[in-house]
Amino acid sequence: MEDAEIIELFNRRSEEALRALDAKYGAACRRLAENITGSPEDAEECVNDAWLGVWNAIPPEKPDPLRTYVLRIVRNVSLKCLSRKNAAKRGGGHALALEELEGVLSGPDTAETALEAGELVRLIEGFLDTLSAENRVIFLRRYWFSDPYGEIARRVGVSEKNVSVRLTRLRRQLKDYLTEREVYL
Amino acid sequence: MTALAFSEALGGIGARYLEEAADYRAKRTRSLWKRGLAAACLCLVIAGALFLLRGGRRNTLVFNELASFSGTAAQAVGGVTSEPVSAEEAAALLGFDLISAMPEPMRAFDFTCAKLVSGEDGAVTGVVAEGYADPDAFESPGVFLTASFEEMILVFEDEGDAPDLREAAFSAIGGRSALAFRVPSQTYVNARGEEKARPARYYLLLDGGRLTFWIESRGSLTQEEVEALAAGLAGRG
Repeated sequence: MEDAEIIELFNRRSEEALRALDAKYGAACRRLAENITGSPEDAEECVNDAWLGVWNAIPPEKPDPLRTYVLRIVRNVSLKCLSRKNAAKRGGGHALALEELEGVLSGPDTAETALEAGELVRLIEGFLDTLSAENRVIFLRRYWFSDPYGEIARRVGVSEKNVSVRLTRLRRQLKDYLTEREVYL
Repeated sequence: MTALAFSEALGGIGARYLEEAADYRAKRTRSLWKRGLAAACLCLVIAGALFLLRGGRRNTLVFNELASFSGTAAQAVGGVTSEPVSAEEAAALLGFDLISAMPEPMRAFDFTCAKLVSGEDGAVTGVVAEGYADPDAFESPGVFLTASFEEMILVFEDEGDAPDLREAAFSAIGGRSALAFRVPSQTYVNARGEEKARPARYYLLLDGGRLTFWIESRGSLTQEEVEALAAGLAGRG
């Protein structure tokens, strides 16, 4: 079913909208939620919460693209779940990804280091624009989608070790990029 | 900035980046790594040929001028991870004190060290030392140095960034062959919209014999300081 048809079902308040949304994007959303929380049960709960969020938001929202919109909601809900249940101690995938980033972003959040949220987002987008498409995908699959190395390797068509080496280089490039722009790390 | 703050901000990036990452599937069978390896073979073949043609070892470093360089040196086979170690542990792993082998002013830099560990068998394959004259000062002179027991190759971010190695001048210092290049000073706009100049950067891949060294200058480190560092390392590999 096309995204526009799914949104139309939401607009008509038809429960078929949720079934169609789940059929089209449920697998990707569950994988993202499980990557972050490290638990299939938590992931299911997060996706259900996200569907409720989508139900409440459309209408009036008319998201385009719909996939990005629901993935973003699932990520936010899953991160809150991770924080609530202290999943870092249980080894959730996102906790591991954060540990990697701590190697280059280890400073405290103080008034001096704080950037406006929008400014930081723009800087990150600027950094992403400097990367080749393949490296951009590797970076985002790891730190946005919290994919394990093996999954990224299969998607990109390189070895798992190659993903590891390239992520190490990308973190260093990120540090250099932010340092050059005088962002306190 | 904390990793968590970064992760939260990352959540706000534009939909086009997420659509690209969601749809992306490999389009090729050969990896960058293999292309890097092919480039390395080319590099070594050319280095050998030039060496023979010149009939001996030169002791002058020639820094090729590159408009930009996006990449690094990496071990030729397998993946590695790095783990922090003290300077003493790094010296024990290498069999000599890397920092003492540096020219006098550089020894006073504030260094952090790490060991490189093979992803295949957990063996230590080298040591990294990164140091700055003043870690809190912007563009402070500094150096990023890798000493590897394994052969290292240059890995470029993508083919478009790769300089033509056939045009590269291979030179030598201290009787050891080297590939050196320089990216001149560039201007950029910082987060506050101010135009700034980034000092020239020097890169050097040096065959030290038992060890291969990869040197990247940081901040306002000069060519003379990079050469002095390479001269010191050439005799210690």
